[in-house]
Amino acid sequence: MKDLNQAATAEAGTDEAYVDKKRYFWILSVFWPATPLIGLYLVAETGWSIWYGTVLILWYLAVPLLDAMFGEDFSNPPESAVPDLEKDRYYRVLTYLTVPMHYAAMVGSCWWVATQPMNAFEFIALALSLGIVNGLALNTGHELGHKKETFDRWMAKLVLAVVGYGHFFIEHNKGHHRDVATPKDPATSRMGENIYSFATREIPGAFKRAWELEEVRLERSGKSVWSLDNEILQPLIITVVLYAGLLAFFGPIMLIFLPIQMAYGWWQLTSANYIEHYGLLREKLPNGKYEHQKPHHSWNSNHIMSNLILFHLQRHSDHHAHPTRSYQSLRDFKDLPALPSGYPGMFLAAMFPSWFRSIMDHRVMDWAKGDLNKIQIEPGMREYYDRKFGSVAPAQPTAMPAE
Amino acid sequence: MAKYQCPDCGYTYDEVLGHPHEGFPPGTPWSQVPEDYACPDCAVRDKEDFVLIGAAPTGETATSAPTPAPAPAPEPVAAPQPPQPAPVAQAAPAAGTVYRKWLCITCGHIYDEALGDEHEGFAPGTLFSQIPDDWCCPDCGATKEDYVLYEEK
Repeated sequence: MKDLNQAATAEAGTDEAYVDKKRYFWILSVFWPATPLIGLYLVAETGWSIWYGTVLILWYLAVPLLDAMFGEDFSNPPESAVPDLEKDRYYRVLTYLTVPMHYAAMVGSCWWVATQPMNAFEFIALALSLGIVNGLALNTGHELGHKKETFDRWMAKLVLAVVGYGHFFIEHNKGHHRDVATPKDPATSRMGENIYSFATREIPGAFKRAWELEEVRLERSGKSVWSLDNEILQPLIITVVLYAGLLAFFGPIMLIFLPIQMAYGWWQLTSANYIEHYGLLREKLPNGKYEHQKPHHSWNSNHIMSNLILFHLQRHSDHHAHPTRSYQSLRDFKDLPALPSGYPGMFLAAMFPSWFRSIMDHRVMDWAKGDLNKIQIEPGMREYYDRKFGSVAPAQPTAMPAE
Repeated sequence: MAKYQCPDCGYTYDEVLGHPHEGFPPGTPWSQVPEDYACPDCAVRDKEDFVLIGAAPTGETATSAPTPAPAPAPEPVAAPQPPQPAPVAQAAPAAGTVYRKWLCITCGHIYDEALGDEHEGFAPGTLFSQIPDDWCCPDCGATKEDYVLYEEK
């Protein structure tokens, strides 16, 4: 797999046909959501309860290790190959195939919970495992929701409904992308803000923004926000039907199981939002608007392993600069703010605030070239950072003696 | 009736068709779209960033077309085609060359052919068409294809 590193960067401009070395590796993204079922199969085969935590072990330990081993891939498809890549249906079909995988993992796990004897540990391990892959339903829904075709957008709604986060596709496309890396965005974290307080700002803030966006759109059309054209209500109805069906089929145990996996699914999104723009800030222009969304307003990660199971989500810089580009053609750029590991490793670190800050704060400072005024800082933390990093005194350069 | 295009993702607002899903019935003129309206597909460009791509000879647009300064910087008068780079390249590489400027749509960096870019190794007078295709924006890393012809005022 190492030779993925040398994919065709230098060939740009030649007539040689470009070969996407990752083409078939993207299938990993399709199968990854089925991992809880693989875990259950292993439980059935061996009887060892450790396999209930298959996803947890892979996600938080194995993938970060593999990221460290395989390293990063900085190569880009040559621009001349991009139109063909974008047109190639194969890549799109993979995202479609991922949708039923999420449903299979969901129904399979619920069936297991309802029919097999489990102790409390095993139960929680399975619920969290399912939560992780269902959190990735948000990733699948993310890729699909950015597409322009109605079919793709319906697939997005369908897959987001698995984890009960149907408003994501409005909130993210029209809200987060518009406001990213500004104080207006509840889904951009501030330097010094820990993930737990971020979650209390992000989760309600995201819903509120999505709802308001739909309200404005429907108002223009002269429809009520409570109509069935509301694209937040549509996936919500699917969620209600799905969850009610699972409850009816598999009994009251679902009342405990479903909320845990759903909460942990949401937590994956919160983690992603937390690390994707930590501390970053777009400059305000003289006319009061913010500068355009540029690649350096997102933390990027070129780590091979985690990108392959996440449909390239981690090439987040290009994604935010050009949101409608498909995953297979996302590029790396020179001098991007970069995460030291892929998302799984960073998600783990994010849960330990002081660890996360020790990894990220100095990177944010480097990004801002030492100017705290160019960073979004958690209210109340400014003084702490002034002490820690020393403020770049804007006015009087002579007044401050060097330490 | 005119069309306006998002310079990032290529979404086109056609006044004839409107965009009913977004609440703009067919025939809604661009001027009635709210000022703070963001591109419905990519959301990273706003109404004011949109580029006029096809103006038909109705009375009102005909008056605004010849005057060189309508708000959304239009394609130069010489090249009324929607796509950006190709037709200009072979314009005049000869003696009395008119130098042009090129704008990176991702970050706003401007490449001025008259000045070249010493840091990037392009002598003054290097035409944009002479720059290698794999060259990237020195500010943000966007590709050469992300540049559009830049017309001042």
